[in-house]
Amino acid sequence: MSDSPVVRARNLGKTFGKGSDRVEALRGIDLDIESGEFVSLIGPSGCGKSTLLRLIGDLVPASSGELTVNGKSPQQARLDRDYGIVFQKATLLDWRTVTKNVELPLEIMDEEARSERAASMLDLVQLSDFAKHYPWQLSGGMQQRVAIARALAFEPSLLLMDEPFGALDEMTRELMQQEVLRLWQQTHTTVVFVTHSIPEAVFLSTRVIVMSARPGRITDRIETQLPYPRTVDTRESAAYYDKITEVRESLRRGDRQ
Amino acid sequence: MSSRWRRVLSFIVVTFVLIAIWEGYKLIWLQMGWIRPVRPDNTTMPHVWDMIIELFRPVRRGGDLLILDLAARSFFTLREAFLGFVIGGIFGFALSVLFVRSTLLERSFMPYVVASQTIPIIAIAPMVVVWGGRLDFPQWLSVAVISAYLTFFPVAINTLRGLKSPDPTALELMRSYAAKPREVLWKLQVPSALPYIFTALKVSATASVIGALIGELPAGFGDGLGRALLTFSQQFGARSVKLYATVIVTALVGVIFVTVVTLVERKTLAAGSRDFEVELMTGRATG
Amino acid sequence: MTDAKPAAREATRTSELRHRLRKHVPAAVLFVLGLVAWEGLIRAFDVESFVLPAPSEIGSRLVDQWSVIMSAAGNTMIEVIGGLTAGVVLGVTVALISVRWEAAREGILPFAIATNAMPIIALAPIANNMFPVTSPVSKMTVVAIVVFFPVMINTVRGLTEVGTGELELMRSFAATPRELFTKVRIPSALPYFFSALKVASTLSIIAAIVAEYFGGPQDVLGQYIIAKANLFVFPDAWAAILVASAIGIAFYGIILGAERLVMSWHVSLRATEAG
Repeated sequence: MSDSPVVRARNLGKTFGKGSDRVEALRGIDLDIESGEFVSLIGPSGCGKSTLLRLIGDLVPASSGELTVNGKSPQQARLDRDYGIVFQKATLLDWRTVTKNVELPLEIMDEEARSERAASMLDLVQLSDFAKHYPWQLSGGMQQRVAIARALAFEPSLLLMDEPFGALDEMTRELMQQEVLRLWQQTHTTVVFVTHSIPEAVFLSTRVIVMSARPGRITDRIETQLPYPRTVDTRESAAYYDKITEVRESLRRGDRQ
Repeated sequence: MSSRWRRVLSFIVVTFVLIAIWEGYKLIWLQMGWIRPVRPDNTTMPHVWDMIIELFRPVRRGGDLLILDLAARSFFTLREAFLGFVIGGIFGFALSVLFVRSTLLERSFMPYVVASQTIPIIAIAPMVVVWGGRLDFPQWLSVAVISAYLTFFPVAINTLRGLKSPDPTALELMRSYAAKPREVLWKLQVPSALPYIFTALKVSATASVIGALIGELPAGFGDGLGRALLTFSQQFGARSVKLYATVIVTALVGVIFVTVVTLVERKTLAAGSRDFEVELMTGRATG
Repeated sequence: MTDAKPAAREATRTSELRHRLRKHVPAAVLFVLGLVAWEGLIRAFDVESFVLPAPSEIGSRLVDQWSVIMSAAGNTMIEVIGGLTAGVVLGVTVALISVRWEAAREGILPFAIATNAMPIIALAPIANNMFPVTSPVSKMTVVAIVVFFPVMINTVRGLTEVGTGELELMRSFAATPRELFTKVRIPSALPYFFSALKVASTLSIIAAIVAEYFGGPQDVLGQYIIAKANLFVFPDAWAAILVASAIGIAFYGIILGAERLVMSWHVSLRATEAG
């Protein structure tokens, strides 16, 4: 565990638009994310959680404040390929097989051992049998697993996930959550996870960051303090329900401010 | 609005660039004495300004100014084209309504609808005129039919796509209201199809003018632009600028018709700002 | 929600075949019925051949004139293929340029759209006069211009219609603009390109014949048809027309085949859906 945080934000702000159409998506964000953490960002629509994720990933530039990723500017971190990202839509390329999709970032980085890496990634997400299939032949959950394999293909130290299971049904979602935790513990990646589901945030994370809207800001930080590995039993424990209630009440408080 | 002016401006700029290329080619090729691929002499490649000036010269000794003659011919051709446009549009629309109602009809007839467009209309044109004569049609009506032949296809294909475009859930909603097929058609499918229909109408506008011109050629009757194109083509050696000038006017006629349709579209489809101009090209065939 | 089942795919393949047959049977039945009705009506009403010849008469004339028509068709095909190639190559090149340089696109696209509104038929007499009228080049020029616009516009559209999801993904990989171009834009432009190719294939044959009408060597389809029509020998003309039409359909079919080969992954060509 290193001293410096993987993600460090100080008074970070983001405004979209000009003049009368200005929207302040984020204001005064102070956040430290340490290596190995699993942090969830949760809040109502418009609280800026996805925006914050995109700022970290240098997909959108900040308007004010400071932000460093791995001690560098977000842009440098992106150019150095320090992170992998998974979106709500798997966004697999239709014309590539599953294997080729996972190899995509490796091609761009000109990695030599592409096919081996891709194969081991597919093994990790347990989709080796579908290596030669095309995206349209897979179900939604499987497509997301491929997307995750792709994001981890180049072994980044940081994994960003933007409501990746939002489009899946409840049972698949629970299985995928289990998957992500397993991968997290195997690869020791730092994860920043955006969600609007309180149970999901609590189940997965070490820490839940509660946000509220208009303007987007952080209103609470809650340590989940539930033991790992988290299983089906965790979902039925009293501590789990108590944490969910704690987060829910924090959200309601934030809403009223 | 500024994007529209930008389009006009870029159109003007590109036109000037092309004129510059034309004149530049003439200049350089004449200096160097080259004759391939096109001779730079004033018959094969008249100066652009000569083409324009020719419009203000008499058609023949003691005749009207070329531009007036061509204007009259343009109206004549446009009338036929417009009629063909309307006939073809209605027929295409009717066909697509039929196809959306009955999959069997669609599967039976669609291949032939597509194949119909592979038959060179210019070859059928003389026969259509003969048939029209048999049925005592005035010649302009036969030409309109030929024009309609080219027009109905884009309308049929695009309207069909548009009629099929509503979400299945929207259809389920109508079903839950126990709506009759006619109501589903006019309250849901046709409104959804409007953007597609207008895209097709723009393609059809051009097609109808082409059809009218083609129809005029074999009929050999003297009142439209087609005849002028044919005559001046034969007189190319004597005075080529006439043909070039006519081509410019013909081009303008096509552009004007499409512009009118576009303006009607803008008025009718108040909402929706998709770039249908770009969809122009995809309208002409299936898939 | 299902996962892909290798065993079940065998079963779906036979049902896919049955489905395909069911799609094509009505049209095939109509074809046969149509032919029979055509022949029957002509005979029943004793229609003269110069109004509309019977299929049997057209058939016999086709056999009789086979070598002449085939020779003419061959020459027309040279014009078509030449013009098609030129138009497609030019269209794709200009499309690639105008996507790379935004400024070029602003200028070229509206011009292309406006120009496409012009009746191409007006170009035929000019092309015939610029180039020697008996040379296939004059017809190839007309074909190339007619083909150029749908190809260019569709290719541009395909290259630029990349979703934000894909753009963000490539950005997260720190991909260069060129990598974005080769790995994402070009593959996603393929469906549009093929769509344009289908339009171009049928247009090119019509354009060649129209151009031939304005003048050309005798041994081309356009001139053959017009010559026969002027002599009121309509069955021969029809035979040639049907040959031209058959060529057009064949072209379309070739492109459909190529599309299926290259783009087996595309929505419109998938046999069955999963999940």
